[in-house]
Amino acid sequence: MFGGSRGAHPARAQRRRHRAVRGLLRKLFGTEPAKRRPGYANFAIAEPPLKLVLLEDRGQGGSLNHLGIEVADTDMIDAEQTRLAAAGLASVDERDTTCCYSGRTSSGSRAARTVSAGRSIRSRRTARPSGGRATRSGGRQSRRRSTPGSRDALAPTPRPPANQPRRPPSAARSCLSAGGSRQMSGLDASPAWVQATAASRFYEVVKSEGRPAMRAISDKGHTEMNSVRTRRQDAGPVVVIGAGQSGLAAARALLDHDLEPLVLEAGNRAAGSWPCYYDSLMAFSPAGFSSLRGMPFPGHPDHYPTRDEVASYLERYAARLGIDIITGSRVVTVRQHRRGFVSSRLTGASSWPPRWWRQAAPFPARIAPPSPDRKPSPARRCMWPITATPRPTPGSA
Amino acid sequence: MADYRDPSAYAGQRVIVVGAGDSAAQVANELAPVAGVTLAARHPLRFIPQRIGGQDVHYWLRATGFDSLPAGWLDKIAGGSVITDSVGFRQTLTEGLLDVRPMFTGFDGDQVVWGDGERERADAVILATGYRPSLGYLRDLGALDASDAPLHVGGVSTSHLGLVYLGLEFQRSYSSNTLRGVSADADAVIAPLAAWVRDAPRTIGLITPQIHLVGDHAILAGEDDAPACCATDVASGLPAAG
Repeated sequence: MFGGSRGAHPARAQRRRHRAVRGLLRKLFGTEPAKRRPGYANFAIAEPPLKLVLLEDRGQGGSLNHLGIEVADTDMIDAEQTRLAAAGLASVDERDTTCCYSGRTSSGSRAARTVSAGRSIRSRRTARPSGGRATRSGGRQSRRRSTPGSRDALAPTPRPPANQPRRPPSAARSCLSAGGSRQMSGLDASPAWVQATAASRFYEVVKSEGRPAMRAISDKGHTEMNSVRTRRQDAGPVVVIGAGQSGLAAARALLDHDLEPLVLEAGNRAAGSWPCYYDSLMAFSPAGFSSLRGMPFPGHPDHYPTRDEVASYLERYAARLGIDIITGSRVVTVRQHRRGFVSSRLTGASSWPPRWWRQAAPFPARIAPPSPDRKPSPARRCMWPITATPRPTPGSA
Repeated sequence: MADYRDPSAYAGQRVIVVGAGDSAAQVANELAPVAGVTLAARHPLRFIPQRIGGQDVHYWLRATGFDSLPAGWLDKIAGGSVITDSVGFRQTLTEGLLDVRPMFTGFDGDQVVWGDGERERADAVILATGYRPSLGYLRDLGALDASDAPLHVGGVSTSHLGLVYLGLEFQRSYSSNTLRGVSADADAVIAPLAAWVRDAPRTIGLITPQIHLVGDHAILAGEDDAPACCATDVASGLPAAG
């Protein structure tokens, strides 16, 4: 597939394809091949530390069907996308794709030999604070790999056929997959992988109109092959009850952890109880000390924000998060469902964003920031019943 | 207090505001010019200066680390609410526009009974005594104690894995239920939640089946036949509560 011609009279079109693939890899890795011989190309990449050896395997197919580059954080994802776009590579964000894992046996064992990139993951592993545990779990990794029945129920993974040979641990740590299911499926029990790739994005080489192209599979595509790595939406939403300052802070923290919040708010604004407070209420803290993370409170830092200023600040904060907030949705009860919870609400099912209905798993978790006491009567929408509490309010609203 | 919006409805009335915090001070202060106002408190009012050394007191809450003191310690040292008084309550008090009395002992018809036995008719009593979370929707789950308060340590549920709370008063610190403090608390509770969502115990090799009762069925945690949808909504005839 790569390199020069090994066959007797390769078609001109095939040579063009080979050149295109090499060019693609140059752009992808930002480096020239270290070695090139007919039917052989060798990329030595410093960051991530990776040696990629490409062998031509004409006529067999499946020798290389996707490539992944692991990046450390979301900023790098954007930088990578910008760089690839500048190099003329199409980068398509494909959600919910499961392109990287397949149960096929025909190509898996063959392709595994083309890649070994253990250093990449190992170096991340040693960077973890709990280095000792990582070593132990590395041992578990190989054990777990041989018992696919123990896979995580949250991310059902096709069970690799039993007749496939077990892969050596070094290959299993690869962060770059070439052609196969087995190679990547070996990652499933590696906590280091989970840590390192929580915010990573992968690119896949695909054929587009006969030409190779890059496709960003974002962080959506790998759970199928890596059962412990939970992607945002595969984890199901983490439901946040209440869209006040606490609910929004929770949503922000969830995003920081690459989890997808779904915020349910009983009121009609993403501002919690603030719109319901008395007209003259001023925050007891000046604006300079009234900010949620990531968005300074507007105005002079010494002024005391009014009720309406705070409500409006929260609404803008909510909008900036870009998350699903369902207003007019009052949770009436929550019950446990396996590892997660199921809620009942007063409002109808149609108000759920449709994409949540595609979830195969129940909500894995639920956050319940308290909203100030509201009596259950639907007529009392905006309430702050003051009840004597053993602990009085601190000097802050 | 929840129904209180502005002073206009109380013009010319005899109003008793109950509380010793900033909310009570703000409401009493704005009622004072138009109504006969008494502030009733269970303990003497305590003021902390709005500005210290040219800086707002909130600067010092942060700079001194006061905001990071754990709630358990504050229990022993803070001892009740304080008034920072950004609206000039003390000025109003010295001008004699309102007075402050120890908490009344009870009601008798439309009268309040003060501690010294005096009875006085009141048009309105406004409770500005704080609030507590309304978590009734978690009652059936068994996440609350007998007084409907959440069972938690620092906002992390002690009754249910995968359930956390945020914004509780004194959840972790003095600033837990404030705009300036809630983001730090969010970090503290979301980190363990994320680990749970990602099934960290299983990842490191701990597999502990748990039986949860759902309806009539005992379900082994980790069972693989997930339902087609994840929420049961009660599409009842009830109006959507705002």
